[in-house]
Amino acid sequence: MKLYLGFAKNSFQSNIAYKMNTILYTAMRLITTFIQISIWYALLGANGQTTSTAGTVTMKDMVTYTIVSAFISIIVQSDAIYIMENKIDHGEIGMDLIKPMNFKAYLFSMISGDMVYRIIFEVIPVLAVCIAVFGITPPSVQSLPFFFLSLFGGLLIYFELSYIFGITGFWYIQVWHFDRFLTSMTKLFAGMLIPFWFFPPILNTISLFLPFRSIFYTPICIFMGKATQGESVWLILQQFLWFAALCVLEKLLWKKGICKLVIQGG
Amino acid sequence: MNYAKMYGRYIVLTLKSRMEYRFSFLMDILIHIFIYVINYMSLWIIFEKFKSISGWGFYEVMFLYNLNLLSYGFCCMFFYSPMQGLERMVQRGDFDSILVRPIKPFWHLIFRGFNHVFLGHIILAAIIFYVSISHLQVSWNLFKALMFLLVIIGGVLIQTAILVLSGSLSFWFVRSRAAVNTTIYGLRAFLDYPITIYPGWIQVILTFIVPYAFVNFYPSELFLQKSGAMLFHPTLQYGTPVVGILLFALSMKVWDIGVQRYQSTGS
Repeated sequence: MKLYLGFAKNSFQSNIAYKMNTILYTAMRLITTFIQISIWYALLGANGQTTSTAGTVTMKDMVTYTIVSAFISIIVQSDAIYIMENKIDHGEIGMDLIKPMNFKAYLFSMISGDMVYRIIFEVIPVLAVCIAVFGITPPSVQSLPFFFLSLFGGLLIYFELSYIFGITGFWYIQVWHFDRFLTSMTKLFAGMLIPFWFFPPILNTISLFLPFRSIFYTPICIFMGKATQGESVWLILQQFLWFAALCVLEKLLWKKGICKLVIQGG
Repeated sequence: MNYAKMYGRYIVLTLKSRMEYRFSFLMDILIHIFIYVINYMSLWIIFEKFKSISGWGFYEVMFLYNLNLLSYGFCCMFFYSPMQGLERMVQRGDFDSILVRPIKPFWHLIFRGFNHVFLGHIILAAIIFYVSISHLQVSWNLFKALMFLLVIIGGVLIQTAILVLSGSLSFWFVRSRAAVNTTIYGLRAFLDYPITIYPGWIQVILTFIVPYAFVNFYPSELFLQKSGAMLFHPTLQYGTPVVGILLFALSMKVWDIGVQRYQSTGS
């Protein structure tokens, strides 16, 4: 355990060196959030509201949705795919596998270190500015524990997806294709920018069969009180089921990948 | 030297070498088509629900977005790699090897930097233009057709100019790329929707300071006859070709100054 904490700490420290990039990233995040809110403002009007499959939705609701989505976005994103691609490309993966530690746990702890850094230096400023400028509808106290649980669930799912795409690096050269694919699918089918209560039925149905919805839409809905306690429990259970299913897929792919690595020597 | 012929040869060579990895070549292009199809789907979802934004309908915003996509794709095909790679070349002194060639460094970089991944942008944009225009009531005449061509060329020139200006900054501030990229991508993101949805000061920035709005917003106002809700004078609708030429000329001048500076400081 101490070993993995050490990796997390390392990751955290090397991030401090990238202060400039952080400021820029935060600025970019603020711009995209502002643009998104402007879009909803134009669609709904300042005090406007509209009907949806989840009842009446107000402008305040959409502002809250956008800000919470930005929050999750910063938390969940990671370089896992590229770290793996790098290691496989440069053959480091061989060394990593010889070491007496779990590669996946090692990767996850690195990502976690990144995440803590981002929470301190990106999430807090972005949230502070957004809430000060736009305001947010605070969640109910009861939904908070469910929110954090579902946030963790979403994080696990996104990590697992990244990990699986990272494994394709054993066979596929242009792993960035998969990274872009993951980003794009998440943008649409996770309800990252547009909530599912605005979706036409057919796309909504499709999203139910994909894991992306659980990453953004589920935690945001719980935060906004759009799910009862019972529903929240069921949603979180779904998240962990998705995670389990993805883990099974990952183990299969990993076995195949290692086989190839051993036979071909990376 | 016949630059056009030379460039033709360069492109053929580059394409030949890239196409050795057929699958990879195709996937590079397809993934970008996929990304933007998803973006258009997002647009569709919004308009299925809301019907219009700031007086613009689905196919009108599609047309708007597409102008940005086409000009960006066309510009980047030739200028993205050279400008992105410039900072590193300057840092490592590799740029010196460009300076000793018998053709101007600008053109040499462009020749070597053809990037096929943006073909996806262009292919999709062509399709989307067909789709959006066939759903819009645009009264086509010779003037409009000519203007359409000029607007696309102007848009490409503006995108190129901003890219070249940002690349040129590497001659002065070596670690500037991240900051500049953020500014460019941040500003371009505003173009996805008609700029009338943003506060006035943003429209001012996008019109008079970094004139990105001339890439897609003002031309769209012209073609879709949307003079109603504009913040500034309607003449701006015709501004794209002029802004394009002026900005491009400025960017070439700044580039030249930058190269001279590089040579004189022996960076």
